[in-house]
Amino acid sequence: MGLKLSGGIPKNKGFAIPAAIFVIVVVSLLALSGLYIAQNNADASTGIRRSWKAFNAANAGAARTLATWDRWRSGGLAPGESYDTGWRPLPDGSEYRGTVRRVDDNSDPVQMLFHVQTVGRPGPGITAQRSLVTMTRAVRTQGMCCDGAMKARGLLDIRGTGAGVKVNGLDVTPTAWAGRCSAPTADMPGIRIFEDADIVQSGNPVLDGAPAILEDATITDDDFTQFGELTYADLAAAADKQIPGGSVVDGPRPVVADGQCQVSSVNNWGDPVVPGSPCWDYLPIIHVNGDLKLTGDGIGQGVLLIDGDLQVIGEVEFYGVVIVQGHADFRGTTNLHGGLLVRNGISADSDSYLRGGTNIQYSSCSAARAMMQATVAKPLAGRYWFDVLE
Amino acid sequence: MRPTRERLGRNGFSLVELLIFLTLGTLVVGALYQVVRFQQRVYRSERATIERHDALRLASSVLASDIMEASGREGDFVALGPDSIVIRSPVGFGVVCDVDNSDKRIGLFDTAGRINVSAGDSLLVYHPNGWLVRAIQTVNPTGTASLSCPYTSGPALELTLRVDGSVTGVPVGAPVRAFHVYTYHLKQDRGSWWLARSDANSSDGDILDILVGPFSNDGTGLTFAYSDENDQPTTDPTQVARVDLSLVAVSGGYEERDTLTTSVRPRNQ
Repeated sequence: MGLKLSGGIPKNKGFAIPAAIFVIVVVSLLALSGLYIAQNNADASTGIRRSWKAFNAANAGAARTLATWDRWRSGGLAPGESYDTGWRPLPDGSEYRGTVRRVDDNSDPVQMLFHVQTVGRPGPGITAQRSLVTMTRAVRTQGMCCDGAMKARGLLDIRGTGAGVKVNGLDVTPTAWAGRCSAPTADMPGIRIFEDADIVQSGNPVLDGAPAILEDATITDDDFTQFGELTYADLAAAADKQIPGGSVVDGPRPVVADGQCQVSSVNNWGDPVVPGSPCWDYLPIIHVNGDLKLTGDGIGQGVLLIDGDLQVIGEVEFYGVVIVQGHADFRGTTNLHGGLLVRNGISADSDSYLRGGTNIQYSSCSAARAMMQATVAKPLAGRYWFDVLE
Repeated sequence: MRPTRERLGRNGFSLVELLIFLTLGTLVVGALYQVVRFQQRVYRSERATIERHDALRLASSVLASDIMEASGREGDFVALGPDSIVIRSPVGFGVVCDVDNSDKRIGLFDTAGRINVSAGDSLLVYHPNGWLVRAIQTVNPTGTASLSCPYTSGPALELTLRVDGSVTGVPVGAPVRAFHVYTYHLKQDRGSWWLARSDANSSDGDILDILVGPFSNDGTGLTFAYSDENDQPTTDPTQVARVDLSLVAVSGGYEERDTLTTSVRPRNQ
């Protein structure tokens, strides 16, 4: 057998190349089908995972919105109005965006209702989104303040020497606030105290009211800790400012930058002196986890909660409600417009002092304005959490 | 012109060439056939796996979303079974912005989902003294004074509903949840067992939505376990604080199976 090849490869007509191409095509198709399956599985898995991540982001956003309730912005909303938090990051890289809308009609003095919608997404630019609604109540206090310019238990030492001490229960609207409050409601006692024999006076303090001093044997611990649905602890936990016990605060002042009230500033306690200024509507709840000493020259407004003792040395002008669980010692120059509650400790066996240039003026307007803003956000009873299916 | 021997040799195949080609060709085709068979098996297996996983994901999503929004104390768990659950399933949402006490009407905004009379949906309406359960009588009733939202700058009314009971005391801003009572259980269809949703209000109990499947029919396909706030087993629908859900999806004549177990805590406690 003789096989003579000549003319080189181009003239050879075998099957190798077509067979190889066929095999490559078939194997490629098989590989593609496998890839398609894997891709489908991955897509389904990714879609589900992203959906749950978006859901978790919306859920975490809802919890965070409630836990860090923006009392200032929400309290400034009229019924039907809303504000948008913008996209906010979460630790795992996902994001949420909240829209807080006030939905009540302003008919309930005790609470406001808010519709909080949070949208979650797995990360910036990822379209997978889930949306949740949490219905929230912003609850106000009831009966907290004031049935007197000052309500106290225990011993009260009033030293009306020097610059003089004034306690006045006759309702007065701060001069600069003219036209911003309704007419004074009712005059109150200057000092409402559990037992009037506990008051020691010296010098010439000016006590006025209806009456100037009222003995009230019904005063209990609850008067200083239970305010309708809310407790002192509720307010303390929801405070805008948390100050460690034993702190010395030197002259709180409103802080404004670029025309905006800087509410994050620890020493910004609002601006009660200049109505309409950027911090005019900022009435924080300030909680001191222990004793507080106020020095310097300061102004502020809102609700001041002190777990321990209060000592005022400087010049302080405060509009709103002050609650002292321990005893109070006013020895500086104090102008308090609103109401003061001094529990004098659990056993009411410590002395409180009014001395120096202390002026405690009952003002229903100042107190009411502070208490209107002193809300605590709570989820609606029974059901508050709704998965919104768009 | 007559071809020469050399020319014939170059253009044709010898017997040996033909035998080699047939042998190699048979081997190649045989190998390809095996590869194709293998790929088909892999494809079928993968596809079945994907379908089982999809069934597990979808079933758990449906059940979990209903359970998460339920409130045991408010009566959303109607009946608890080891292989079924009867639950108020949320289908729609809205917020009250106007109330007509005399005509038992409420106006809603921010509506979402389904609020439908013909579908037999009911409503849960927030009331300060406790949530009201109301049946919808009419959607957007005609011939009555229109309701409107009280907001000067804000959302407008989207829907008016007349219900079968008093709405006195329902505040503006109250949330409304439309719901339907469904029974979730496994139902046999065309030889397989599927997660199905029955209308618990139906007298014949036979209105079914076949949702997803198939699942195992050996008693493990769909199981529920219920715990209270102290993580103790409970059979009291009002005490449910956690539902442990187990699903077993099957394929290939029940030989291939995947299991998903998950714990769901109702949020509205």
